[in-house]
Amino acid sequence: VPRSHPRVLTVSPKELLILQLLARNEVLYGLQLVTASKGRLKRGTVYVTLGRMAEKGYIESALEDPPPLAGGLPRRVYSVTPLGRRMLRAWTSGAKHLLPDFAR
Amino acid sequence: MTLPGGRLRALAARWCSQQTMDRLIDPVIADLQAESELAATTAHKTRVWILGQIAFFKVVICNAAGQLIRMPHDDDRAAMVRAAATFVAIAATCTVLLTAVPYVNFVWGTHPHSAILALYLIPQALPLSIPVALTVAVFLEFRNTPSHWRARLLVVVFALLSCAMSFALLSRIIPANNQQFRVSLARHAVFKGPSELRLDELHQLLARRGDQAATLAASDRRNFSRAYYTRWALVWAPLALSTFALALVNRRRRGRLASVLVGFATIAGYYALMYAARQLEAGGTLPPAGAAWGANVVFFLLTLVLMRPAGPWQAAHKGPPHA
Repeated sequence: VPRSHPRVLTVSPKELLILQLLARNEVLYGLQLVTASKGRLKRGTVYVTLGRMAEKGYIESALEDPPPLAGGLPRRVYSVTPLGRRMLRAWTSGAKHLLPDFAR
Repeated sequence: MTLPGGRLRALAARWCSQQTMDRLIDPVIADLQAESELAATTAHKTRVWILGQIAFFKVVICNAAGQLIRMPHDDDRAAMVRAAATFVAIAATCTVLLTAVPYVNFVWGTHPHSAILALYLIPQALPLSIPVALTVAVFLEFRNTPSHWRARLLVVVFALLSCAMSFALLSRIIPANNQQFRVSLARHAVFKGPSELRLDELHQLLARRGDQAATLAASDRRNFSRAYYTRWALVWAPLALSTFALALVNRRRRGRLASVLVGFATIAGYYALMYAARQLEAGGTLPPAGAAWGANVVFFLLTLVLMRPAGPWQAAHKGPPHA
């Protein structure tokens, strides 16, 4: 692990939830993640978590086409990276071994 | 028609980096604009606008806090974690010791619910144990590395939070606890003394004018005045001591034992100054406010002196880092 990125390969419960939602839906924007999480993610903090996950390399983002409104900002959509997928798989399989109930 | 969030974005663009704008601010504003466009009624638009504003300010606050605690160097990060652990350990030890002494002397075995009475003593110890723990933690954990400005700022922010906590304790919680403790021990109603009056009650007593002021004896007035100003001065003790410690550790490097000794000597010096000032006040040389604030003023002045840029002599005598 590079010394300048000590937090890489760690994952918080919220980050794991975002990885699960993105793996299920391919591409989502922030508010869609908040809605899909059924209240577990908050709209005020989801972008901070997404920014941290992008720094860790778990997700990537792209801008949608600008809206038809003059001066409107394009939405940023998020998708999971191969590293994020591997992290989700590793965590899920680890959890299944440690907690058999998790597999059901 | 102006789109919602335009002003917020312009405001954020003044302070935030391009990366922060791209990753945090613009997505929040884009969500706000898209949602507002989809909202059918005015009430829904208003709700979307309010939620968008709250989300924007939450993002700004979370980002600012994240930037503050994100140390660029591993050494600073490790020093902060160690300082936090040291602070908790010393604060807990001091609190236990400062609670145990009056408990053993006055309570133990004298009351059927003596264990509950110990709880009344804990808040009393905190305004003393917090500045002690903060000062020693800074001396001990920042002794080796010239700390980054973020680490120092974080210590100052923590000191200010400690001041706020001390204010809550000294203004209301401790006086109420003291009174409850005395009533429980005496098992009948007891008149409140200076230590049992809340800060606002002391202020009201001291603000009496004319005939009302005549009802307060001169000695009582002096006692109340002393209690009032001393509490205000103790509120600021964490800031006075921790800024002094930060200024001193950045001046000269020391070993572990020397850092602990200097830390406790600083604390001893602070309270010795306070005691000496109180003696002068009792003799009538100093007014109560001057006596109470004397130690804080001396330490703030010393901090200013220590914060001057190091001259060639100090730079040459700054020792190598200790292991």
